[in-house]
Amino acid sequence: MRRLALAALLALAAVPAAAEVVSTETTGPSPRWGAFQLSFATLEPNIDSGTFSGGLTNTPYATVFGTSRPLLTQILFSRSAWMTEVGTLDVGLGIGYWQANGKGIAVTSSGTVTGGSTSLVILPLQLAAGYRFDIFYDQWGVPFEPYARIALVNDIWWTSGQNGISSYTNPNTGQSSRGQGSTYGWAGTLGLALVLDALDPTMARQMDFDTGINHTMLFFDFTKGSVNDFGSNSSWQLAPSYWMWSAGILFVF
Amino acid sequence: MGRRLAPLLLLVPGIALGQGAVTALTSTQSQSDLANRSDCASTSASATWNWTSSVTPATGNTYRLAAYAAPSGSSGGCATSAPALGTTNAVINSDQTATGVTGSYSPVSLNLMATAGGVTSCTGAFDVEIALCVYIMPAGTLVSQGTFTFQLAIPPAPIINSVSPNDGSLTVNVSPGTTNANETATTGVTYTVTCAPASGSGGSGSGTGNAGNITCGGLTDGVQYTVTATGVSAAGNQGPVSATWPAGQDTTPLPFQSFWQIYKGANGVEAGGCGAGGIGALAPFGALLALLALRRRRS
Repeated sequence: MRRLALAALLALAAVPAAAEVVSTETTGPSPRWGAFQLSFATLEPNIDSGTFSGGLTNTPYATVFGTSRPLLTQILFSRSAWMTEVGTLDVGLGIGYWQANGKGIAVTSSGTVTGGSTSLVILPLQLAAGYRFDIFYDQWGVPFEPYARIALVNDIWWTSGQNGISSYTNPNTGQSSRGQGSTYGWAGTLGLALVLDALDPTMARQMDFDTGINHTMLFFDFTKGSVNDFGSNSSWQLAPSYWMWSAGILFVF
Repeated sequence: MGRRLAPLLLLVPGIALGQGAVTALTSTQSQSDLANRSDCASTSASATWNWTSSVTPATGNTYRLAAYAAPSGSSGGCATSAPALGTTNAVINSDQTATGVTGSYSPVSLNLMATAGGVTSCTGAFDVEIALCVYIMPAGTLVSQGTFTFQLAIPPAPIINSVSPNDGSLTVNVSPGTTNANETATTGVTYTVTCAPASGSGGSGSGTGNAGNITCGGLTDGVQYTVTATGVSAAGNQGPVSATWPAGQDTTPLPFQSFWQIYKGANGVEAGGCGAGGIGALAPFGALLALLALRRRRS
């Protein structure tokens, strides 16, 4: 059963192995270069933490998009910069995609009415440095590896209405602004990875022999950060107010 | 002709079987091999026949054009020998001088093609496919054939599932209606939604699209509209009109504010912008990558 489970998880990479089974007993692990990970999280930007007055609502994000947390999908491609028996320091670049959709608001003589469509899209870029304690599995045989990561974040974002990118003209000053831009910030992550190789070391070695993937891991982590141009008073907060959980799969190659 | 052409005929299966191809392009829609109810009943709508003969005509040969009923979805309904001029199946009353293996003739009445093809009513519930046939005379041999469809089926009245307002437009969700004995078209159907002011003031509008959300544009904000929809088959047959979606708040376009307008209207501090747009924000990352590449080159 365990073999079947692992086979399903690693099917894509393991397909060649079925056709060419070669003994890996006499070969060691392949040289390592870096890592690639795909992760999923749910994000609710803390935009409503700002100060609002004089408008239709003091909680614009919650009013338009509700309190649900849309899915954030991210990838991170890293180069292993420093490898020891204790662990690996990875430095990498990542990008993600997140979108919230909601209804606009119109004011009528009988009150406010919702309708139309409006959205907020965020492409979070990150320059990340993380340290993973490989010693747990490589030396001690424990199939869990803790890790920590810090990242410089740059959220590219835009907001749309019915006719594309939104714009707003202040009725008092006449000043116009377009609903697009980018916001810098930081993020720190603590997590734990389950080393799937432990489920079937033979198959894991075969996969390394065939594809160069040394380890495959499932991970779960929590991230805390701030994305408001490092405290700028003319920026909103795009990071969540909470420790954001994230789960995904990591390939070490 | 026979001896010289025989090797060539064996090399080209279609010709070896004695079957050239004939197509008919309608004058009304410039659609090939397809006509709708209106074309079927019209005395002015016509088609241009184009064909390639499987036999090279000799001096003095002529081509004869005919149409036959064919079972739906099949071809090859042509008679093996030419019909006599003036009979039902002959769609024109004179033969055409054969000057080569290709030929063209226009106009051929679509109504005559329908009649010759066995169409008894242009408002039938189902499509009718007929065989287009070209014979070489005086031998009367079939030298080219194809098919032509009179798409007579109409789509059933669509169902309006929901209407939601936008700024100057309505989004109408439409799904296909249920077919019945007289309304059978289900594939290639497009839908037209029509929005009419409930009170008579304000501009009306319409929109066209596939099943799903269709935008009814060109409307006046603050005016209540009634909404209807109708299906149109691929050949242009219009089906019955849907039930009317009544006027109400959901059919009243309004100048809805977007999230950004709501945020800024509440004095949100984010100013937006990024000189070069979102791509400009990539500059620091690009600079870092360039630095790393430079270091690697130097080392």
